[in-house]
Amino acid sequence: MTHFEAVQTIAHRLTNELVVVSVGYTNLELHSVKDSKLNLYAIQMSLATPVAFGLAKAIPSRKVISLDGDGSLLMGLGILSTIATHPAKNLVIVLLDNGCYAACGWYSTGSGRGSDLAGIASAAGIPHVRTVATPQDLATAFDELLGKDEPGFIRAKVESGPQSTVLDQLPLDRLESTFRFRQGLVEEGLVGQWREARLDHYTSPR
Amino acid sequence: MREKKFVYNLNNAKIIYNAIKSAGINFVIYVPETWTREILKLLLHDKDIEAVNATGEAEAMAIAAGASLGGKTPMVLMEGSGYGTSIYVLSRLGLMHHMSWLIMSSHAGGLGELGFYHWDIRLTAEPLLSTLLIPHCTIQRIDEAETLIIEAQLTVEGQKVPMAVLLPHHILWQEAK
Repeated sequence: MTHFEAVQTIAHRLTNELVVVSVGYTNLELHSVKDSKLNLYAIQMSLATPVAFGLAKAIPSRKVISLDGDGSLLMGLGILSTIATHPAKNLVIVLLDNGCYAACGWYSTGSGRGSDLAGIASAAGIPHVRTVATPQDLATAFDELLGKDEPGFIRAKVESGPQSTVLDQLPLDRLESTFRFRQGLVEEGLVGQWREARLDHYTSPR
Repeated sequence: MREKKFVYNLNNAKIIYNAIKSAGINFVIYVPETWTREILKLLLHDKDIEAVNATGEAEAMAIAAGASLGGKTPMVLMEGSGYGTSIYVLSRLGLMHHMSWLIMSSHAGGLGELGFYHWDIRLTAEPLLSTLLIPHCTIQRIDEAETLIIEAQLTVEGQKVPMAVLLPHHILWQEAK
């Protein structure tokens, strides 16, 4: 399974889920297949899954997907213990594991050298952990874990090495992504408007 | 200097806890530490506040960022040394993404820090916040705690930036009788 096939598989199954995306090719691929205001793009290395977890805690009525990478997750493995011990019932982590740092020369990650990130997730206490290597198995695992009432973790093994680029650049910057995502949550009725100063906030006693 | 011993100022801890409640905080992500432990105890006993024990301060802040985006009113409770481990998340999520959350920490940079092992924190915590352009304030008198904590949270919501409230030694500890 290529990285792009994995992203396509997930993207085609999304309905109204909130998706937090780590950095790198995943952003470009998801944007090209299924852009949405409910996609929060380009969350830096190690931070996508913690942000997704916080979001899942805040909005328990909606499923939240973390589209993370192996290099990113390895920078902050502690989050797996935090999620396991403070379960967010609506969180599914999809780890696109290519065993390398794809954006900067395909240097091997710890996963590429043999560390089993699904094993680590399972040992941390994540209740539902799957490892898949084909689009069909990824689709099956994603549908299954999305239906669970407990956190899920899918290690999607994808091909390492150079891959075709579907977009040269994400057509929105980080700040736009955040504000657009927040507006998407407002439009879905999941959060209220951000606090803004209004004239009636400042009145004088009569 | 004569030997001094200190006990926790439980009254001040209660005042700070009440101020946190008044500010609307409903989600606390914490990394336990000595100086803020009694405030944490009060928060953990509060059924209206959800609490998550993060494995580190940077992770705590990233969780808070996501929760804030999702409509919670989160606060990270931690030791002042946590700013050093959180530069990346403060700059990336705080500055670049404009995500926002309240931080409350002990303040080794104030007067009365007894731990020599905190000398680096004393020197670097506030300069780090200043360098990162993270607004911050120190509670010097307990009677200003409620105002400052509420105003800090208003800043978080209005300016969409992380903001830190620092608690020095004399606010959290008192000399044992």
